[in-house]
Amino acid sequence: MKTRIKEYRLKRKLTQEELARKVGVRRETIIYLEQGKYNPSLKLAYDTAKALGAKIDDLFIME
Amino acid sequence: MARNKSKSSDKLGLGLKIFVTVLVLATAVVYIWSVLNNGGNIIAGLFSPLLIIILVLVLMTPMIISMVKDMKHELPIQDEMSKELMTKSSSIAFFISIYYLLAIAVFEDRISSLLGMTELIARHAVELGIMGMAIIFAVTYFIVRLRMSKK
Repeated sequence: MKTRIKEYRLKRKLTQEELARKVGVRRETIIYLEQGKYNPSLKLAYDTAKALGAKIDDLFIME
Repeated sequence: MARNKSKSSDKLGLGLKIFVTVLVLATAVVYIWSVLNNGGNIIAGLFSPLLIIILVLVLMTPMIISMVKDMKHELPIQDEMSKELMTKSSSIAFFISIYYLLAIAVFEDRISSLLGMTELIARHAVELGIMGMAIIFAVTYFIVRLRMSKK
């Protein structure tokens, strides 16, 4: 799975810590999400997309 | 509202972990004090309870430090990924531990001769069991985490 979380986060000028705080997860989780190493729950995917002003489809690309 | 609830459960979780660690530390102090009072050697025996105490402290301290750091930055100390990691490693460690305890029971004679004992007394078997389970959990947690980062 590829993600565009980092790209959207940088567009919004957010740090990993700020995004983690917005979404309500640990910073480590954001790191794993950005690297596509963690499959988030639908809720976390939705919350991340909402925090970045994007759609889930835009953030997560299934290969 | 939900965030406040999770914050208080975070604090409770951290408090519990600190409580257990303090309990382990207190046990260590009492153990050392009682051994020294009886003129014994603290590191006597391979399965000295001191080893178990050190192992627990080594496992708990980094976890508590990381939790306190997260709390300072107003981040949750537990989230769905850390819970998943803990659930996965606990369940794997549980099954391995069952076979490990079974192995201690089955190979009791061989283990006691390997350790230079005539027989494996209950106390040593329990110490061997607890220490082994702690090591199994630590190794499993490390492997599950490593596999996740290599995905």
